Amino acid sequence: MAGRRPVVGVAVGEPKKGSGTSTGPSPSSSASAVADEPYTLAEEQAPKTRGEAVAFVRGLDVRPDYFATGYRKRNPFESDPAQWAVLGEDCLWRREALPETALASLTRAFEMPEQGGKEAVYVSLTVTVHENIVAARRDMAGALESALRCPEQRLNATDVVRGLYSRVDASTDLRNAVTEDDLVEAGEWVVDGENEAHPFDWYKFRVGPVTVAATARHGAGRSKEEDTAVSSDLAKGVGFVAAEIDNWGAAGSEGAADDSGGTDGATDEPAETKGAEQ
Amino acid sequence: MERLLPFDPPAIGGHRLAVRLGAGGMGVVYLARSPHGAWCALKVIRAEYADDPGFRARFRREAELASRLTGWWTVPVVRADADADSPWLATAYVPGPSLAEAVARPGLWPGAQVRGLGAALAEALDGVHAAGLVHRDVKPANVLLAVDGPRLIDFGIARAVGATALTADGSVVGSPGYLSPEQARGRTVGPPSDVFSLGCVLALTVTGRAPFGTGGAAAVLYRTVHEEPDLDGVPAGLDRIVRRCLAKEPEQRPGARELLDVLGGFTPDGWLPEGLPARVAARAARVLELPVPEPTTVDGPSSVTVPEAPPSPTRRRLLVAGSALGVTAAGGAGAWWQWGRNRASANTGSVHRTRHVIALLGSPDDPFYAAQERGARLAVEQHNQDAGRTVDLVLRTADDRGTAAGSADAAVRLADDPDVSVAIATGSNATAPAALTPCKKARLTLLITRADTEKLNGVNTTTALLLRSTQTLGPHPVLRYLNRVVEPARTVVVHDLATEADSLPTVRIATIYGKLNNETAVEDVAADEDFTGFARRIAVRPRDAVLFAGTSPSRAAACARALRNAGHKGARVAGEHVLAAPFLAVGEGWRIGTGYIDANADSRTRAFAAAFRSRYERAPGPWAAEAYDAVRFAAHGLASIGDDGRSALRPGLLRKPWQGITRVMGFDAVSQYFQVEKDNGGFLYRVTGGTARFVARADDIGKQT
Repeated sequence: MAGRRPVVGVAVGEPKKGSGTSTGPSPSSSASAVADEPYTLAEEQAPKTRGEAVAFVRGLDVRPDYFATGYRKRNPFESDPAQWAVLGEDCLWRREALPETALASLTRAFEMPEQGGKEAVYVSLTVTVHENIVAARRDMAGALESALRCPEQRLNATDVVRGLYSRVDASTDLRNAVTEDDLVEAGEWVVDGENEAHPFDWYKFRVGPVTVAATARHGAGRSKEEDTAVSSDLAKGVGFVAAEIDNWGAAGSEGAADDSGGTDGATDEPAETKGAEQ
Repeated sequence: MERLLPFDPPAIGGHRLAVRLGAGGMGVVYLARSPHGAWCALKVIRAEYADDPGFRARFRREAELASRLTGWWTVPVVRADADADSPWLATAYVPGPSLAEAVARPGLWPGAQVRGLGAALAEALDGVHAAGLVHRDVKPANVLLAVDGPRLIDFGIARAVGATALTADGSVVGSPGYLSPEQARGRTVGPPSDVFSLGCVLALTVTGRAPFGTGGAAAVLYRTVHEEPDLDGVPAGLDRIVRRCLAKEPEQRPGARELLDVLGGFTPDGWLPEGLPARVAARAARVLELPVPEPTTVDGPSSVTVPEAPPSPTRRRLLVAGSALGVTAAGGAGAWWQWGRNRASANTGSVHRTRHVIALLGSPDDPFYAAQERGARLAVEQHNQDAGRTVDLVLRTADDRGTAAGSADAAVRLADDPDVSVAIATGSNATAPAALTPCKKARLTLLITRADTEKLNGVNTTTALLLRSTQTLGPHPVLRYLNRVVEPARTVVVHDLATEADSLPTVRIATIYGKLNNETAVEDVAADEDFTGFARRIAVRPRDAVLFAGTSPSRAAACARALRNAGHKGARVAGEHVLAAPFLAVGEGWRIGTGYIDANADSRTRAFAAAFRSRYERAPGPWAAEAYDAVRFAAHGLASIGDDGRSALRPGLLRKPWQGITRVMGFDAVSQYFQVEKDNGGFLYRVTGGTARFVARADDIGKQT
């Protein structure tokens, strides 16, 4: 593991922005494979009001196949964008109203249905617009802190995540810094009353004042390699969302047309995805 | 590991420093994070050494040489900058203890484990020697223990055989106790010197004692030259092998390859003696506890990549399948890796020519096989008629029965045959990938002409080289066609869920990776759904372009029919996999991106096409010119390895771009992806009258009228 040659699959998957390929507009301009600029979103281009922020998070097209072929939307698919999940002093995740510093937070739920003896994988992806970069950085720091504070976290009535650790894995050499901040945690989740625990991944990237977080709860029946593939595909998908956010900024926020200002709409998210978004 | 000291810089060449791994007379080694986030060992040379202009030349050479090594048990040089105030060099980081730390007591390493260690190190040296290098400083401190096997590091004083210009020969370099007699005497040394040093290392590993004792350097050197080694306590079988390595006369020692054979193979399971795995893992885990260095802005002038990829920090680039995409593989400074022996006799027409067998893997039942076999045969025949050639080629064919199992079987047979110098897989995505593992095990280079599945992206962990881009880049010639010629207001990407896995990369390259300049929209079409609903929706905007991302000819045909019926007027494009009868019948006007040229229609392949016609009385079909190029590319590499054996071929082929008639064979230095910057083996066709007609090479799309 350690010291092995870099796994190309990881590098291949990391979305990188820019042109300069054979198909790009200026093929001769690219002289370097070096990823120089991480994905970002300038504060002044980011949504400013709650209404804009809700339209923004709803407007992002997060395709199920961002996380690999075979993923489907779960029902209900989207959460209430006026709430987010908070890890309490008791290490229990709860949905609470957004604080002043967060403008909108939308969680989408996906699953890879059970197939061929491999139990389902549940992915939840949360995009949160903070009022500014400082608030987003605080959120990143808080996420790291919360994992230290609660090595075991209860997601809901039946599911517990434990053994969470921050991972900077030498075996993922060539893992590119896709965004300005990133946080990778991994652990295992277990359902009360069951003996077997399964892998749990948690990625969180910051793109300017926006944070993108994803979790995956792996079902049973996968080999170590297959679980690793699920994790790296998840990271890839989070990168795709980051790319989209960067793109949105670059295109000049024309996409945020629908200004509903709404905190209505979405139903409560399924209990299992609680806590997944932080 | 130590904390950084106050005067340590926060970053060097964009690498954020985390901790000091060690410091010595020459400089400091840091653990650092590359701009890509990878951990690496970054060695910085003290500026005072760098004042000597000869030193920079030597350093640059060191970096260049070390970047040539691609073996499993050596550590690749990732980047270096010989021109920085304090020159530096970064290698992949191996988070394990060194052997020097793990031989504290005799008996710790049982015979079987020592043999395994020796086998891996012999293999490492075999690669070093095959590249024309001598390590010159094989010692326990330069052997790191990782969970999956040892790594030979620090080519600090390695240099090419006979390249004595950079240092005054006669000075002793290396570490007393592990030096060979010829090194101790200050004589010119070759590969056998490393074998001697390895013998010393193995003896020490077993007994816990250096075989020529300790004490003052002069005394140790004297004993090395004049006395027999102290091998008390070395088990009998191993004693014989170690003793041969420690022969005073270089020519009496086994070669690294022979040593590898004698020691038997290396198996990673249980390779470490009891107690050590935990220590190795603990050391590896220490990296996990490190704080991630603060992101700092990339400082100063950018470093020089090894080899020769000029970084020009602009926007973040697509690293997908290519780092290849971004790298200009063409480079100036580096000398091509021609070595030694047969170079001198290149034009003498001398009698001795090494005979190399090139094996062509494929099935006669494959519609694209016959053309490739003919193209390959023509290349071999032309080669063997060249009076100036230095090697002779023989073409052998191996039937893969058109199946993955057959491909694996055939590859095993070829790999077992020491006469085979290189294999070429001509088959499809269903067959070619199965040949990877057998070829890798036997260090047989495998060139892949046609297959393009994403399974082949990881070539740098294999012995394969892909002579085209994979599906990860989609049908890139048609993306360029859309960008340069059509410039549609919007492109609808049809994600055909009937071939979802194959379709997805094209969807991604066009959308997420942003390779289409204008707006895109994705239409998912379920496997059990036809394309009428989609066609009805697009009829609202009939000038939009359509990129069919699927790979099934019948599905593409259904899509084409639906678009025609809906009165679609815009451009319609797809990749080569749809080119079969059902689609060709209804795909009039579609543009198709392929990885094969029509040799009859292009000026640079005209001579080949004429030779082909005169030899076979027929025109070359698809992939004939690509197979021709593959053989010539292989021949070019084989001519340069001389008698060094087939494992030396691939590193040589990777070194520098080679110009073929269909494309430039160039590879990214790290990922080893096929480069797609220029002359990239992408071609545009147009479907007309039920056939696909060649339009242009990718570079020429949009250039002509």
